[in-house]
Amino acid sequence: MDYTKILEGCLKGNLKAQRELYECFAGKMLGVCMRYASNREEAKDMLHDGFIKVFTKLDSFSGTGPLEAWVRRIMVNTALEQLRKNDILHDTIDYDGTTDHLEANVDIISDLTRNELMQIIAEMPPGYRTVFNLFAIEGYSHQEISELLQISEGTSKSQYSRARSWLQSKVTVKYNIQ
Amino acid sequence: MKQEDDKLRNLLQDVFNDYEVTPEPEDWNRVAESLNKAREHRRFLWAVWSAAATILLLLALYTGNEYVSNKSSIATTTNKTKTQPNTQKQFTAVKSQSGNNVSTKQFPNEKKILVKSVQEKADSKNIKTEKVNSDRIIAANISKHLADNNQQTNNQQKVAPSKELQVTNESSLTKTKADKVIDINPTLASNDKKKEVASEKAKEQLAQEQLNALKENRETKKTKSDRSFILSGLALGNSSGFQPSTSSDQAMMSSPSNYSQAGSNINYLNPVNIYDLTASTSAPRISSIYQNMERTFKPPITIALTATFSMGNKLSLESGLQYTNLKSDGQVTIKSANDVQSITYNTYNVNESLNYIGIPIFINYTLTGTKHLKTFISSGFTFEKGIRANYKAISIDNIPGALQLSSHNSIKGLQESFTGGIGLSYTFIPHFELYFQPSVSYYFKTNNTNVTIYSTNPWLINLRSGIRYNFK
Repeated sequence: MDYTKILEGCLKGNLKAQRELYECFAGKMLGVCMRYASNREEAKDMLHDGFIKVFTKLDSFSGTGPLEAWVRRIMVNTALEQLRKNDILHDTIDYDGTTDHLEANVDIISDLTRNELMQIIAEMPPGYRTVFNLFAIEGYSHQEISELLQISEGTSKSQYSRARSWLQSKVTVKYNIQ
Repeated sequence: MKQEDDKLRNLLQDVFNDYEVTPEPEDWNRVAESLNKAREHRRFLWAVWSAAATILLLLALYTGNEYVSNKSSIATTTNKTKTQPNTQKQFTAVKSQSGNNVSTKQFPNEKKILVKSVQEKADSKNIKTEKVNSDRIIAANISKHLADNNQQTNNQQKVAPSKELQVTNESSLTKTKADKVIDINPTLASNDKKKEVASEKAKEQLAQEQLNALKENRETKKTKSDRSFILSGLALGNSSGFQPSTSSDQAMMSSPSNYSQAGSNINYLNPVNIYDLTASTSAPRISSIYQNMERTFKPPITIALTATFSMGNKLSLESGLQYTNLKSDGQVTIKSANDVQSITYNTYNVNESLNYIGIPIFINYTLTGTKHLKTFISSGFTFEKGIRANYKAISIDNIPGALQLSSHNSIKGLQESFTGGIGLSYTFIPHFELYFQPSVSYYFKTNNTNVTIYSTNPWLINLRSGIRYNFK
């Protein structure tokens, strides 16, 4: 899709163009926010703040990559900012002890529907959920995650490992899978 | 493990890649409301900035016009040069506000020598030698009068009138408050030494009166911010085109005895020589005289073309080229003389224009910004080289045929200054910014001989503005 005209309108501060851009991405971006937030209200706050940033920072969009990826990145950053602001991340991320890991069975997870997966992810502790989202779904490397969350790379790996164990145990218990 | 990780990542990314949650209508309303608020906030900020910039601009203009008005010391010549003390005293006179000149004249009048001191504007009925043309008429009348008087007084008039004693006719005397009459003992006529002593005393008295008048005049000028000046003896400079350097008149004025001799021989009845005040050779003299004069400075105007280089963390280095023009207005009064000792003063309105080329080196820090508008603070040094000082002088007396004098000279020294300020920039096309930066600058001393707004007021409020290119 060509967003040129919409972008031009947005850069001029045209509210109609801004609404068009919002409608293009609001659904997907609310889905992104839902993965990071604990509930829908929190996700809506993230969506709101994220779009305000999109419209005010639109002049810095270089146009070299897809607009959707740029908007998604802003949404993820806004979500992280919100979590950091609410001091949600530290409780679990700071924990760097070793535990027995249960490896998530990919075949079992693949049998789950998207909504079932969303529900399980939403129940994750915020620290696990954040690293899990960033690494497994957004595709960030642990180095990038360490920079984003201002934690060590080792902590990021550890948190992801715990998240997978937590997911496996949750799936096992919830769906009574042996 | 790695394979399991990759498998899980691919699975989840496929699942959530196009995952959507339909937002509610009020979600957009919240966003729209926030955008409108942000827009109003930007407008408010813009209004505040405009108001602040306008106030600072007006303040800068005000200080430029009022505070920065230089009151340079007024040159007086009473004790300036010992080699020509008499002529300096003689040349002292006042140019009144209205431009009417009061000149000194003399002629013998039996036993009394009437001394006319310096007069103010109200004494406009006295003899004036405001213009060269009128000088010619007056000088001719005086010559005739002198001839008549000499015939009437025969040898009784042995006291040669001192050149310093300024004489006016009786009708003007009665109308002048400052007029004074000094009786000179006739016996002095038979004693040259006593005559000289008396003459010296009279000269001193006259000089003192004139000095007092000058001081009063200067004080009046200070309180009234008057632009006119008292200027005396300035034509005595060797390089002056106004200087009657070889005239018999000056020779007479240099010594009372010489004058006496000249008086007895009626040398001053020779045809009147008028020194042309409008001679073009006088132009360079104007610029040097002007340096000692009171003047009103206009605010400096600086136009700059600069480039900024980003240093990260909102910091940028700015440098380029700038042109500065300094203007000032003032007046100079030039004395001239003729062979009948008629001293003429001519006043010129002088416009000075100094041109500088400079290199600013500034560090800027961006405070806030959108795509087009940015606010920043800035500080740095500027190095300016004076290119040329231009002078234009126009006579205020409307002398027929008078030409506008113009001259120029170089400006010595490197003018260094430190500037700090807060600014607003507007990106009108990509990479090009128009910026306005109200600033405070301090100008360091230089060896420049030109009196400038920088030398008289080192601290200046100014408005830097220009166009700069942004390297990103």
